[in-house]
Amino acid sequence: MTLILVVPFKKGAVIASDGQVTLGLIKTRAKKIKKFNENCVLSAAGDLPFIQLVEGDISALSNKEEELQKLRKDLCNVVIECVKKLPPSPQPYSGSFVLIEHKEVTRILHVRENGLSVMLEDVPFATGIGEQFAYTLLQKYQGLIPEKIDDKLAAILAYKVIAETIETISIGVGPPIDIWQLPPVKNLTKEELTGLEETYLGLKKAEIEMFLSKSE
Amino acid sequence: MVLTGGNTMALIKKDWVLLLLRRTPLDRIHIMKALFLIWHRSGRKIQDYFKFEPYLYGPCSFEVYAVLDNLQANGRIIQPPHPMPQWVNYYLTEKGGKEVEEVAKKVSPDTLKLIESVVNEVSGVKFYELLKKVYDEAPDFAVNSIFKEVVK
Repeated sequence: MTLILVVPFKKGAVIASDGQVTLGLIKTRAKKIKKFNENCVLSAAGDLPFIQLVEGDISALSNKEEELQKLRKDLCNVVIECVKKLPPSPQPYSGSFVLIEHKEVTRILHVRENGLSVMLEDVPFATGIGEQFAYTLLQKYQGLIPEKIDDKLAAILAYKVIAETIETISIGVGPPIDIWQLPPVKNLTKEELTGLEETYLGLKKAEIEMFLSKSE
Repeated sequence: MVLTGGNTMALIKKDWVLLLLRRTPLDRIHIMKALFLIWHRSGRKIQDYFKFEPYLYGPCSFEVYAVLDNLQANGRIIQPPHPMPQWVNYYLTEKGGKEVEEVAKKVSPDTLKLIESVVNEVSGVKFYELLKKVYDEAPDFAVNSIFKEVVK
C-alpha cells in the first residue's frame, strides 16, 4: 500500500509519499511520485500490476501535455480500459490515481479504479492506507492552507504527516519519504529531504522539551 | 576571530567535521550548529567552507549532510545502531581518528581553540537551548525558522 499527500501552498503544491512497496511478504523501496508532464506529477496507491499498467498507458497519451481539466475524461477511460486488460481476480483490483498540477490554483485529479473521478482545488488531499490518519494530522492546519504557508512550510508539514503515519501504522507504509514540488516540477534532493527530517525531529524534540519544561 | 590566515585555509569541508568529532561525539543537529558558530565567530570568512542559509530550523548547510554521508560511507565516522539514527551521535572510527590527527597538525592553534570552545559550548545542550544560543547570536539566520517564536 501507499500514502500519498498533497499540501497546496500560496503559489504551488507539495506532493509527498512514503517509499515502501510490498510484494507478497517482501518489503522493498520505490519512488511513487513521477513527473507526468512539465506542469504535473502523477502518483498512485493500490495493486502494483494495476498501477504500472495505468501509468504506462497514461504516459503514452498523445495529449498528455494538456491541462488536467482537458485530460480528465481520457485519464478516466485509461483506468477503465486497464481494468479490462488485467487477468480475472477473486478480489477487485484496487487503484487510486492522483495527478497534481498548479496553474494559478492547485488542481488535484483523483481517479478511482472504477473510473470515477473528482477534481479538487487548493485543498489538502490524502489517499492510500492511513489517509484518515493523515487528514487528522492535517486538520489543525486546514485554515492555513494554501494562503498562509510557503513552499518550505508545506514541505515540512507534508514530511511530518507522512513520517508520523509511518511511525504509527504497522503495515503498508514505510520509508524513505519522497517529496516533490511544483511549479516547476521538482523532486527534492536527498540533502533537502534530510533537512526536512532534521526539522521534523526538531519539532518532536521541541514538543517533548516543552511538555517536560514544567517539571524542570 | 577571523580565520583567514595560516594553514587553516588548507582545510576541506570533511576536515572541519572530523575536527569537531575529535573533541567529542555529536549528533547531526549539534554538528550543524557547531559548524555554523565556527563560521559565524570567524567573521563569516572561512575559505571553501560550508555555505549556510536561513532554513526551517535556523542556519543550515545541506552540504553538511552529504559530507556526513560520505564520511560514514568511507568508514571515518560511525553511528551506533538505533531505531532513530538521526538522534545518535557520530563517533570517529580508528581510521577517522588517525586521519584527524594528521589534519590537526595542519591547523593553527587559534583554530583548534575555536573549534574546542564551540564544541564544549554546544555539546550536551538541549535542542531548545541550542537554537536559542544560535538565534541570539545570529538572528539573521533565524528569519525562516519555525522555532523562532518558541525559543525567544
